[in-house]
Amino acid sequence: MKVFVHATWLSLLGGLIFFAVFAQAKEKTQENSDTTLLSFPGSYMTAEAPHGHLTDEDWTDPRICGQCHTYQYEGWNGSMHSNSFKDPVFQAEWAIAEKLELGLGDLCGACHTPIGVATGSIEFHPDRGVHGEFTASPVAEMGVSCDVCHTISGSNMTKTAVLEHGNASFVMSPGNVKRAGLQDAESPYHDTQYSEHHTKADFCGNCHNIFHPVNNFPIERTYDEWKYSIYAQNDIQCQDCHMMPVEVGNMVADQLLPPEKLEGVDLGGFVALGGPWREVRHRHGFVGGNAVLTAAMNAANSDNPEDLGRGTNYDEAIKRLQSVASLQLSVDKVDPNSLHRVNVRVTNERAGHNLPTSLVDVRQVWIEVVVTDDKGNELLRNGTLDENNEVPKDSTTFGAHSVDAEGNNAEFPWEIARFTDVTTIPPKGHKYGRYFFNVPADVQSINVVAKLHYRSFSQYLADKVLGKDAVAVPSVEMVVLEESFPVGAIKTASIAAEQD
Amino acid sequence: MKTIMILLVGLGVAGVAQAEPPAPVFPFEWNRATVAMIDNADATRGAEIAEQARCGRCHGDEGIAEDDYSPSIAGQVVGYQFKQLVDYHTGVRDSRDMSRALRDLGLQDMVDLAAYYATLPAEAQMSSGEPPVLVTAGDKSRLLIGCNSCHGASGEGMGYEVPSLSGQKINYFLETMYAFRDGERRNDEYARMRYIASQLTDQEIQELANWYAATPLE
Repeated sequence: MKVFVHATWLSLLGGLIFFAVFAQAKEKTQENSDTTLLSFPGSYMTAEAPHGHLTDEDWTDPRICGQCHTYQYEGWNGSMHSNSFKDPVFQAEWAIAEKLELGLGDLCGACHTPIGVATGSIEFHPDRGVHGEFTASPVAEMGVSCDVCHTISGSNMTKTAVLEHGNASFVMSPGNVKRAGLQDAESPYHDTQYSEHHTKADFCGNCHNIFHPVNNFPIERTYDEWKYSIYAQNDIQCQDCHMMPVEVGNMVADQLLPPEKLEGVDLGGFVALGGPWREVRHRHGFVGGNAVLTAAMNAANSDNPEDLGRGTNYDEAIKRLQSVASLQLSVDKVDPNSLHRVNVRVTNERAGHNLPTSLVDVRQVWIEVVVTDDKGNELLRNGTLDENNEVPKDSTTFGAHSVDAEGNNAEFPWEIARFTDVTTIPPKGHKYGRYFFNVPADVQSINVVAKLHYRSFSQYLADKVLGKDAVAVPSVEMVVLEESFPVGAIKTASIAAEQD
Repeated sequence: MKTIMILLVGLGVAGVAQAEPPAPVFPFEWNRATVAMIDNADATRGAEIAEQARCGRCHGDEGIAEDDYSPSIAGQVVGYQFKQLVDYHTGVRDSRDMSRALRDLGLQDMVDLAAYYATLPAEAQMSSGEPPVLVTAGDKSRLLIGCNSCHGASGEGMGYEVPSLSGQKINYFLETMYAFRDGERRNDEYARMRYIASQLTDQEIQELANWYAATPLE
């Protein structure tokens, strides 16, 4: 494993820049006599404070919300949104940044614990854990909870450095008014307000688009990937897949129709206890591909409101991973003698953003391919995890390689200045893994097994941030395809095939 | 079909006999068909079924129970009541008497029964004055929202799922809450009432029973 000697220096330099730019107190702008608009430099989050400041009392515990909106709570509880603050990998990276005095607090925190940032309840404990640990008030530790999203009243997109959604570009207006996408909602417990914002991908883009706060490099661009995709062209929003059961999300992706226009699908249900039957009811697990943490933070006693739904997010994540991509196999003869090539085509069938997305230099999607002959001899093996639980360097991986301003490997988001190569697969797009191997003269047929794997991060990163051997990073087998090819029927590679 | 069934009921065939045996009753599920069934329930037919099934023996001729341990069902929310009947029928909610009473009824019979009792006026609530804080505000330290957030400002119930509590018999109310608290009754979705009841003291349950109760019987 490499040791990045220069990283500390660069981080310190970056820290000075960060400090100069962001080391300032919370800004207060007097909006009117009753409300103060608080801003949190580093992020683009602002919050309306009726009394000049905000406390935990201004937000509702999600377990309270869950008593009437239980279906939604069941989805949210155990989701990455509910774990956004507690996520040990995030905590470790944030702690490393904190010790480097980068002044990232409000930038990271504004998406991972908006309430903690707004109330100023975040505390850093440098002596806890491997790198340190953050705590916050109980409601703030619940991460992106019900009241975080449902009190958002607008976007600060036009105020960002890149004039695009991102870096927590939302306005929070905590209070009794809860905002969502139903135009006729009434509640005996709180006021309601229709918000078109909540029905659009723009809403999600406020956090699912992250650019470097100094050099503006797009570190995570899930929203951007969607915005210029065929999904956006067909008015398919993030909510249409990520707030639906996986099976429905798959239909949305296949037909490029929003859920309410799908035929033969029952999406109805009660969205609030005592409320009317709704033809479309949204899940709130927002399940993506993170099966590692959803499994690690599971619990099973669903009679306990603390645990309700916690068992479901892992299963959903696995299902989503296993339905998002497809594989196709072909084999060419490359020369007149024995050299052959197997082509593994990976298609992003159902993700409305690139595969992978988010921290593309950290996520790992790769092909494993094994070719054997009719006698059982292994002719090729590539992409099998090595003895250190790492993806071998010569594997076909889909992601990005990030470097700092000097071109050195970037290990942490704040070090990133650019990507040297990007191999993520765009929505409905495909990419190839191509592998060469020799076929002995007496072989009649060959067998190819190709697998597409996913994991949230490498073993190296896990060891670095969580501690050596703290966890063996699990992988998810996304797709498996096995085919046999009679050697005599294998054709010589054509130009068309090369260009496919 | 409706005409045939009503005629059979009129002939006094035991257990609301029908031309065909009722379709099997499966565990209750909230779905579009269930909601449509509730919306289209026939209260008039339900009245005839109530008479034939002799529901009044326990629940009173007008749905007001004649003892303090049986629930009054007049004015009860249709969807809630329908679910209870199905749950008794399928054994999800345990009561030998109710199971026997519903043995020969089909789904349509049960939803019509529920619709009929919903048309009857509930017994007046005895209490006056200020409601307990648990009713109006709950106790957030125990994750309890005010009872009236779900059961309505006057305990009248809400929507399809939330029962009316107003005018309920005190002992029935108490036994129900104890059953939720002890886990003996488990047909509440998402264990909502089991959680709420588990957070309440005996005294608090008594106060709530008193607040929602009808005048106790002599």
